[in-house]
Amino acid sequence: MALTSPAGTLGEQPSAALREFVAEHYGACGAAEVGLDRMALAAMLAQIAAQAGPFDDAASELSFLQSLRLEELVLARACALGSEHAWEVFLNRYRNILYESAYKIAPVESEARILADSLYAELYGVDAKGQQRTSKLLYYQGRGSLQGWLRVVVAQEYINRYRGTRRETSLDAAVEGGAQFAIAQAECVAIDPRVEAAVSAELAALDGNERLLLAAYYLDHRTLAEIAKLLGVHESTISRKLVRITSAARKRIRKRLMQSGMTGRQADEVMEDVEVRDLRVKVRETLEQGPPDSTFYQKKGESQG
Amino acid sequence: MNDKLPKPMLDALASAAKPAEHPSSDLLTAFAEQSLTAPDKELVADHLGRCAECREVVFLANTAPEASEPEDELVAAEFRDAPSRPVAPYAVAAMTSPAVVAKPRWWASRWVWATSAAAVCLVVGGLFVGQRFTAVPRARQVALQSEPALGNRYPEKAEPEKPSQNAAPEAAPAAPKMKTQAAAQQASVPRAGRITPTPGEVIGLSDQAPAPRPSKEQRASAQPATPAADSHTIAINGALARPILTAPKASGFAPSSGQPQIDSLNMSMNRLVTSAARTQHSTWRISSQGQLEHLTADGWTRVLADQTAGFRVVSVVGSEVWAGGNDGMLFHSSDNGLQWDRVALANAGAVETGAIVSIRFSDAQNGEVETNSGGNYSTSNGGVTWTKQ
Repeated sequence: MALTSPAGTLGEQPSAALREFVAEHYGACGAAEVGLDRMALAAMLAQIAAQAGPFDDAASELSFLQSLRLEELVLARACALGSEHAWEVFLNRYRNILYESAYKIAPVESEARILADSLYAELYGVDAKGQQRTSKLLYYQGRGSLQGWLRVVVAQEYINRYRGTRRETSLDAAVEGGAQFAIAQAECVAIDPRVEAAVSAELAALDGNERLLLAAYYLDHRTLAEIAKLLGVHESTISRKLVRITSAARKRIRKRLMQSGMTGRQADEVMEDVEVRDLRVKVRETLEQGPPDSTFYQKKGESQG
Repeated sequence: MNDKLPKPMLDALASAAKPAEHPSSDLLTAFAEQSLTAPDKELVADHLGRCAECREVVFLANTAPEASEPEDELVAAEFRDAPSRPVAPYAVAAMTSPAVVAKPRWWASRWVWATSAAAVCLVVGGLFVGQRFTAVPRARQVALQSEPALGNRYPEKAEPEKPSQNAAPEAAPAAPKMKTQAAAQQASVPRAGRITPTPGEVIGLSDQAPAPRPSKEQRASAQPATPAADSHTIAINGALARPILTAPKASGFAPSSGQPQIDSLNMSMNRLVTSAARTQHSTWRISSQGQLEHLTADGWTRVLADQTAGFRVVSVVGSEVWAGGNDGMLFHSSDNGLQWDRVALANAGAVETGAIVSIRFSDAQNGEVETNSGGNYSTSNGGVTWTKQ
């Protein structure tokens, strides 16, 4: 049974590099086994390349095609197009991964099971009426591994579900759980335009990785290990980068503020995140201070006397 | 980390405008797997720095378990090689049902380990105790050697009044269990890499082979005619193969004092050894219908299908395969089952007609064959010549 890719209807014309790539890899990628002919494979790849492109030259396009997970892409696309044999293979290889991911991501077992089951239905492509089949696997484009893609899909689905049910949380339960509903803080008043300009310039100077590091560590409070795992580097590397970025940012902002007319002390005060509980008051030393040799009253009496 | 991010910068970072478009799941996956090109990686990282939702997704997905191999590589290979075939909806539903996919639990794995450890302890303990108690029957065996030779290794149990009839009720409860184990073995096709039969291992289960029912005269005669249910032949790591006597009380044999305990110990030990042997992966087996079967890429395939007499035992030593069964049937293959030669067991012109219940080879040349009629043949040249002992 030959499968016809819907990508063929998009009118993406396979380039010469793509045709050469298909001719070279068609036999090895298992497309024939799942009923995907050369034309369907070429149309599918042309669609993916068009979304990722444009490419400067044929070499870059070929490099992109070679970076794709072709075998997994073919399997996913064949599943989406209705190949039962491909679906069998998919079940055998990825069923456990899907359920394990759901159980790992969702804290409650029943939620995880519902999550995985619903995702299975979406991957199989059964719509609400059970008539038309549109598989979620059509969105897999082979840039990463299929199992990694499944994990991301599970995580996205979990977050969507969490957001959908979050408003159903009762306030009583939240209060009993220890939540405190503080009065919303008023918006910050009158930010100094000099500060705003300096910070905006500093943020614009950050590259993507630096920005991700700062956001993950300072906003999301991710651990060094989590960030290091995501970026594929050692924890110490993350730690060094964070120190370097923050110290450099502090210096540059201070410099910009001073260039805009602030004194050094003013710039430091602006950058400090001072709260009352952060103040280090040396209570013991203060209380243990003995009376000064000449107090105000003594001096006052002496002067009157 | 001593340096803190300046407060205004932290506020600006938190209140940065969220991008309207998000990268696809595919790009997020590729970013987490470090498989993006540098420009794409920079774009996705920049987006992640601005979008808390995508950061949450990526970090959440990154905590999920890593890749695990398919449950059964052989099954996966079968899927790859098999032609397209439709799947019944109920099959898909069954495979996707939560009952099928159970969440692995820490206590489950601990129970598996605990059960395995307990089984090993029982086997070792049973072997130890069994060796201590077997001194008594061996002594009695020596004493009984002056009696007419019965051709049985355990003469004290060799003269049951109704061996076949009495053994059947004892063996009957074990049959469904063995069938279930065989079905389970068939359902979970073992990995090719695990199929390593040990030298001298006797794999076949002779009690499942259909044996001709001995006549009343034969049962009444002095010939022991070891009952089918009594002939589990298990030899592991070169240990001496011996029949398992499963019904000592029902056989009518009057044991000496302490014999029931010994028999029960032997029975439990033998059952443990039997179950341990059955759980080992093998490429050869005897089916419940007495057919010799070999595991190939197509599953279990019947071998020597033209033989009507039931097979009882099969022994594998490297590529040397020996299969024996009723009517003295003995086959040998030196190329792991591609070609077979019929081997005739004869002694002084008399061809052996008893059922072969034990085949034990220590290597490719030296081995022993035992029949239920008491015949014990040995060879030292790979089966070219046999000597009856």
